[in-house]
Amino acid sequence: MKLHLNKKAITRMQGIGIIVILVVIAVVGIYATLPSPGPGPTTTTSAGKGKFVIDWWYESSGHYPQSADQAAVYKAQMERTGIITVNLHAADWPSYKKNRDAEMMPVYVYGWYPDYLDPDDYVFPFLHSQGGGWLHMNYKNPEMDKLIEQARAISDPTQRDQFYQQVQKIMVDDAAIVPVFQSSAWAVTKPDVGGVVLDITQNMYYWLITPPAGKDTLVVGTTDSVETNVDVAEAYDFFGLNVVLNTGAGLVYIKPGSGAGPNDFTPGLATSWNASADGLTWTFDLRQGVKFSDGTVFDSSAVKYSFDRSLSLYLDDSSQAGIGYKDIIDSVEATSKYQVVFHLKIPFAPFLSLMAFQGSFIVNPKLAPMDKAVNYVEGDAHASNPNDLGPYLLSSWSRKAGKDYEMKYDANPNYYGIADGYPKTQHIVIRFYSDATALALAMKSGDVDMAFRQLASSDIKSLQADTTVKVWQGTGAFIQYICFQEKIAPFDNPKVRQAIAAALNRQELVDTVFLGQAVPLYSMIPNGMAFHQDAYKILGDANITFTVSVLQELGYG
Amino acid sequence: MSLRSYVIARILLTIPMIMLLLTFVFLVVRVLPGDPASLHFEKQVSPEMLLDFKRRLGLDKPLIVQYFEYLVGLLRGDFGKSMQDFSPVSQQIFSAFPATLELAIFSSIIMVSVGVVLGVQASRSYNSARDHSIRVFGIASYAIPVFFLGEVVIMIFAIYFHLFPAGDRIYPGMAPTGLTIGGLHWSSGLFVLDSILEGNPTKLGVSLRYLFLPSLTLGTVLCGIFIRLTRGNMLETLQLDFVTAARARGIKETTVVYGYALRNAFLPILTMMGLQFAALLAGAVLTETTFSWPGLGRYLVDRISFRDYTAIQGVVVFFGILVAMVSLAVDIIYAYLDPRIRF
Amino acid sequence: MKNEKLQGRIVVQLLPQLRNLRQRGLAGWAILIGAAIVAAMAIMTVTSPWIRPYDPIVINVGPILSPPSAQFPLGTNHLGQDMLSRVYSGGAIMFQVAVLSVIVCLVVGVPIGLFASYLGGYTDKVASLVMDSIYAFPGLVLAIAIAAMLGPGVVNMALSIAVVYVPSYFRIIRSQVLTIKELPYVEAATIMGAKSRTTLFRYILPNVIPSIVAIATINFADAVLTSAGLTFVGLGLPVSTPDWGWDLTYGRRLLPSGAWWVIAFPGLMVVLLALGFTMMGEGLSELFNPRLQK
Repeated sequence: MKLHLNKKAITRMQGIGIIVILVVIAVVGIYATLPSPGPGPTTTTSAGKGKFVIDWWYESSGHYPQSADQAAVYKAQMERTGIITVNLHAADWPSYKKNRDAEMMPVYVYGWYPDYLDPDDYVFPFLHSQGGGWLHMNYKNPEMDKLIEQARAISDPTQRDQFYQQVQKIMVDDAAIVPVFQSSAWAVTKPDVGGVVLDITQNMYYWLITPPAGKDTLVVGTTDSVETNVDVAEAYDFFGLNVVLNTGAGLVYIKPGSGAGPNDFTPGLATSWNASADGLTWTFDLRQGVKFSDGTVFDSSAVKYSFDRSLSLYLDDSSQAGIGYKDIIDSVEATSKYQVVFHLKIPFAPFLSLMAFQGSFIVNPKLAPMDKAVNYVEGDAHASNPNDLGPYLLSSWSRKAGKDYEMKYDANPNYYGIADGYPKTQHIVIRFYSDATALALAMKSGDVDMAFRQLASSDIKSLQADTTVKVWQGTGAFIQYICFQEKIAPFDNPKVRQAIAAALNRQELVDTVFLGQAVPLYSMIPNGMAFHQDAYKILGDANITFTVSVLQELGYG
Repeated sequence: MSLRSYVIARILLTIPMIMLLLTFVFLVVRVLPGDPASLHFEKQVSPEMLLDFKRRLGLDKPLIVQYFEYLVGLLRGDFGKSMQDFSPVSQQIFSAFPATLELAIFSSIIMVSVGVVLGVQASRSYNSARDHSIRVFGIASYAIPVFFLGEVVIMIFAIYFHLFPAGDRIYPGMAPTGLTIGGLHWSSGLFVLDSILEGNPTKLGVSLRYLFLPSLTLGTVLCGIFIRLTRGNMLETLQLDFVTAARARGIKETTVVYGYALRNAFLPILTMMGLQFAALLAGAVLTETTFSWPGLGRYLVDRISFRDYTAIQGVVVFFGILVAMVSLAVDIIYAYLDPRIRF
Repeated sequence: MKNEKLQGRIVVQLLPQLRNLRQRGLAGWAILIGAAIVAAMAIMTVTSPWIRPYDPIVINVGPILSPPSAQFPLGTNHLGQDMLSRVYSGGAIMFQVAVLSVIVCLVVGVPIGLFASYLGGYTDKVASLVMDSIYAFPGLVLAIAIAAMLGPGVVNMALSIAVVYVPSYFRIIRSQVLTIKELPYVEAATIMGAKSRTTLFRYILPNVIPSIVAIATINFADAVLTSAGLTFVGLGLPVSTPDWGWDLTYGRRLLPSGAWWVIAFPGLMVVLLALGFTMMGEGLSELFNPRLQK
């Protein structure tokens, strides 16, 4: 009897307890469904526009390193001013480019690798109204255009210095584009892999790398993929150009590991060269005895064909159109079987550097039709790649579910550098990974011999402490910068752009996101390059007073 | 009712269900936001470009026409064209599917074995601490998000202890090539099967190593229901007369339990496997993303970030048809094996 | 008055298999513990603005990726944010999504379930077919499809989850209604001239409510897990608000460098929350839906 009563009492207590708790949950739950208060008090003065709201865009599919982290830091830094609210928007890389072309992003972050190693390559594609057209910022300053055109047409460094000083000053006055940081290149390999060169060109020269002991194949993992194709006339993404570099050949090369100075050019398909006094005519003597993969002899007709083709195709997304080859080169002449002459429109100072760039590489005329680009062909690597004068032949290229899966390079038996012992590794296998985490895990578990692009800074830091791998650091020439869409008010006002630039704390960004693996950048011309000035320093770092005063003047706050 | 009429009736029932599902997915993708093509471009795009885009995907036609084309297309195995490069989605689905299938198979093996063994253990020590802790484990394992468990498993087994790899399906160069007769290749896409067909034990070992962690994760999260099912079934069965009789005859306890009593649970477990197939697929989506496993689930997630709505629709439809087929198959097998159930 | 007492008796009559009081006690404890866990987490979330040591979204309050220490008991993440504060505040979105999805399910699923099963005939057949089709489908995949089309946001996530779970409500209610409909008491009421509406609302509905409560609780647990899944797949909310799901998603990138604390604690919270609701749901089901849940 007693037991029975006790059980009843317990059950009743449980019942009441449950009801009480359920009521608590219901009340709390309803409270929780009320919109949660924002991060800070939203103060609006009686006669004011309220806070300045920025729709800030970034790319979210891993094309740039740690974009989401960067965005979070930009947002925090802007909002520290107390007068700005940032709404972050993300887009995957293809959509990001579409949005850029549609000119709908008020503020967006972009990046840049050098094509040719000259300050012009960091200035013309950004600050010149035509050269910068691909960015769709709608920035146009005729004075700036004139200065840039003058600077790229002379070779005397002192004169160029004066021009670029002016350019950088106006750059800050207009604040159309704001450089943020410059970062190093990183590669991770097994300890017994050697020959990895990470120089200022940001190129990856696979033919210099020695494989792990006792093996003739190097397995490389990467998160990159080919964006368009590997045709010289269209490829303009990092990985596509890298395939061109390793399977194709150019007239000249920048000596790997050098600083890309005027004396650092080495023969490629050309053995010697000289320029006329006025800089408008360049003559190249070509290497003899070089053959294409089908046995055809390489000669000046192939060079002329390659350039004629690129210049006539001139595809919108090609490197030739982006750099403005047609503004530089007037015509290419095959003066004899092994000599080519370039007639230029302007005395382009970095012309030799441009010839070392993959956009100037020579294709196999039999594999590259004059009227269209060469695209990926499922199951046929040979038909997908018109380059075959380089150290490697592309022997296999496979895709799975629409994404690049694996590529194989085999040593090219016709390569002219074989006599010198290149390529050092006979076979390269490139495996494409879906994200940095998968790549880092693969490197740690030894699935790949080398990991190159893009590992997160935290991964690199932990790999530096890992004795089972070797971490290589290179010279940085990759930069990231903030763009403004001048079609969208109030970003057409240079003062507003300056205010945003001033609120940045580059050192904090670099330390937080990249753990010190990048350096702050105060000009579009990178640190270490000729004519660089820390131009943006004049606006200060985390200069909140400046930002607030400018925005308040415009009625915000 | 004979088996044949049951099968026919069951198939007839499946058809409207699939139709409903297809229609539902179609409506979700076309009607909900209004226009998947504009949504793909987010905001501004020139009207001509939008129209051209729609034309290439067949999205410019009136809704009814689109609906019929969609249904007819599915009959032919056409799951639409990807918004990214207009390539057929079916091609990509079939190239990614074997990976998911292999994951599903091995996860099922773990799910059922762990569930049954634990369920049996629990039933044999009824109401003990062991029983209660197993039951709690069964409930708790379902409360763990599968990707969290995956991350924990990666941390422990792949990063700290370096025991198993945790990314992708195999390392470069090790993909099994399957059966080769003369100059002809055939591979199923299931690496374990292919490496057996190829006769390559190294590749078999590697494939299994890569399979282990993802299958363990997915199998553990879903085993709870099998624990409960087995336990309940065993508790009832172990009290039945024939079990007592077998024990009385002196047959070893383990044989009694696993040999005789467990047979009773066979059919319910089979049915439950069929029912759990949908949950398996759903869990596979998350597991594949966590382990970078190149299957259909990860393909779906990729397509989401690219706002490729036609591909998303194709994958979802494929999943739906798959689940319907599997549950049909399970019902038919069940009806074949158990004469009592015939409607 | 009399009717209420009779209804009460029907409730009691409808709780079969209570012969084992101990079993009932266990279920009771499960409900209690589960409810306590949920209540604790709800209180933690609501009071978080006052009890958390740092603002969870401010970056660099501490060193980047530092393991748990005295100053930061749960460590810091890749942006230097305090994990303890993020854990305190991270449940808000999950609670909101879960509550909203349950409300939608109740508003949509209960009427459909009641009317379809009570009216029977064609309505019932069609509704059952539709619901079964959705029910058979992999839940997360359908939620993903819907959320992908609707876009990010608390309401959209809740709607996606609700669509997936309405069939569960429908099935439970339908089976209960079908059973109750056959009871002599209800038949008697109909014969005596009670209008359909009366029968439905005064006699059937109150007896179905316990089952609804049970399924709603389990729905909470599933909503928590599904919302975490949607966030993991990229369909969650933009970055600024602290959210356990987001920490679990991002933390994956930090695994190779060994930063386990970024995922461990938010993950534990999600597990606890789901567990709390599940225990409540299991306990309630054991009491109210004994045959159905098996």
